[in-house]
Amino acid sequence: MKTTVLFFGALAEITGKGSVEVADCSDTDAVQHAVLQQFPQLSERKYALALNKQLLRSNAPVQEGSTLAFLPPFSGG
Amino acid sequence: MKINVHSERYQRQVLLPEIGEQGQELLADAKVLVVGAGGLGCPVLQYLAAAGVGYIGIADGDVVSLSNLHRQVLYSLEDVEHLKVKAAAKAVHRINPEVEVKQYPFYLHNVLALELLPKYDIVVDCTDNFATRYMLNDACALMQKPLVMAALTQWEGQLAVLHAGANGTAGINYRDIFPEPPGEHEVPNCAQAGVLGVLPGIIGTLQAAEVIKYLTGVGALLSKGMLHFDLKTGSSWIMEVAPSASRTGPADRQAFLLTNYEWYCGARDVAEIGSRELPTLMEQGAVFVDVRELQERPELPVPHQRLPLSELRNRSAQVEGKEVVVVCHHGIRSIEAVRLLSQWAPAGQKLYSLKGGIMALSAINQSK
Repeated sequence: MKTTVLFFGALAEITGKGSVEVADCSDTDAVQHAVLQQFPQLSERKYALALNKQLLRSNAPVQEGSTLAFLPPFSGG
Repeated sequence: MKINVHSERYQRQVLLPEIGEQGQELLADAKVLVVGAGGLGCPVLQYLAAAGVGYIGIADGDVVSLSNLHRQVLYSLEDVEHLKVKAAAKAVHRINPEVEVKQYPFYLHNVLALELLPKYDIVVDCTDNFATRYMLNDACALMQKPLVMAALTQWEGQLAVLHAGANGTAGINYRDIFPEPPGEHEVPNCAQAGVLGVLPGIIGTLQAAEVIKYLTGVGALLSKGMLHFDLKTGSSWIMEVAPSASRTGPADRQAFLLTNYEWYCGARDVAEIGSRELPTLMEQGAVFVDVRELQERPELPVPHQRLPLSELRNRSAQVEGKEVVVVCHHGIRSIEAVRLLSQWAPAGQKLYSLKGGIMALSAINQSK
């Protein structure tokens, strides 16, 4: 099972890409853990998580084709 | 001067069945406060003035600089070194002399926000820093004032209509998405990261559209989520947001006025102390606060008060004392607690998070 992970703003700069695929994770905690293992620098940043375009507040199961997005707050205006 | 809604100027807009003369009247009677007259503020002001919004307040303490001109399209070379509010007001009158403009040539802070907001129907967040963004969000939350926020980085933008729920409900809050501001230097602003001039043009224009939609009641507002726009791919993406049950931010006006947003949003970081500095602090009469939940044991081996983090997240609290040491089990929750307490701290108070938590404290007591 694959989950697509999206990175917005400066987070994409850290990861070097706008998206990655994470395999064999059954919930969003596991996806987040796998992503932080791959990109430890992300753990120093503040971001919101969105599962299938819905803001996520607690762990939730992921299905085949789910998308988990990492959104940082933007500062500029 | 009152807007003449029958003017030929508005004819193409009045032709829209959703607007009509009635919608034009609503715009003419509206009062909009635009906070920040930079990259986002310029297109907002330009389109609101052109659309015939009757009264526009502009707040910004900055002057125009040459490096603004690639994106702040209301200004020209002759405005460089002049106050943005003055130059913006001049530009608005050039576009539409019937619009009444109120200039606030300063950076908005919490006391002023509480004073100004009641005079306006809707507020537009065109700021470029977290201190004003969180302050404005909290002020609008307290006063139930709709806030069209937007923010940018390099090639991407965010936009949401906050505090504007359907049928008079509270709506969503910026803190539902980002409960606490990021640390200093964690998020670069336009001056550090750069921005393509077109981006604020697009996002600011969308903000103006949301203001017009709100004032005339046309269409569905972007009030149930946050729009993310990526200029590089031309794609937009909307994240649905459900209002949060446990919301951070000041609970009332008093807590709001006591919050030092500059400090809270990055002009500081949490001071951590280790077991080495602890004896000195204890001799100086430091106050200990345990932020673990009430059922957590063991009890701290020093006199202390208990203020569980779960409570601090929901209501403001103030601790007496010049030096306050915040303790939890491992020294992680206490960092968040210091951030929260620092919002309401009396002037001159120093808050510390104890590194290693109660484990470190027990070690000291045993070695005595």
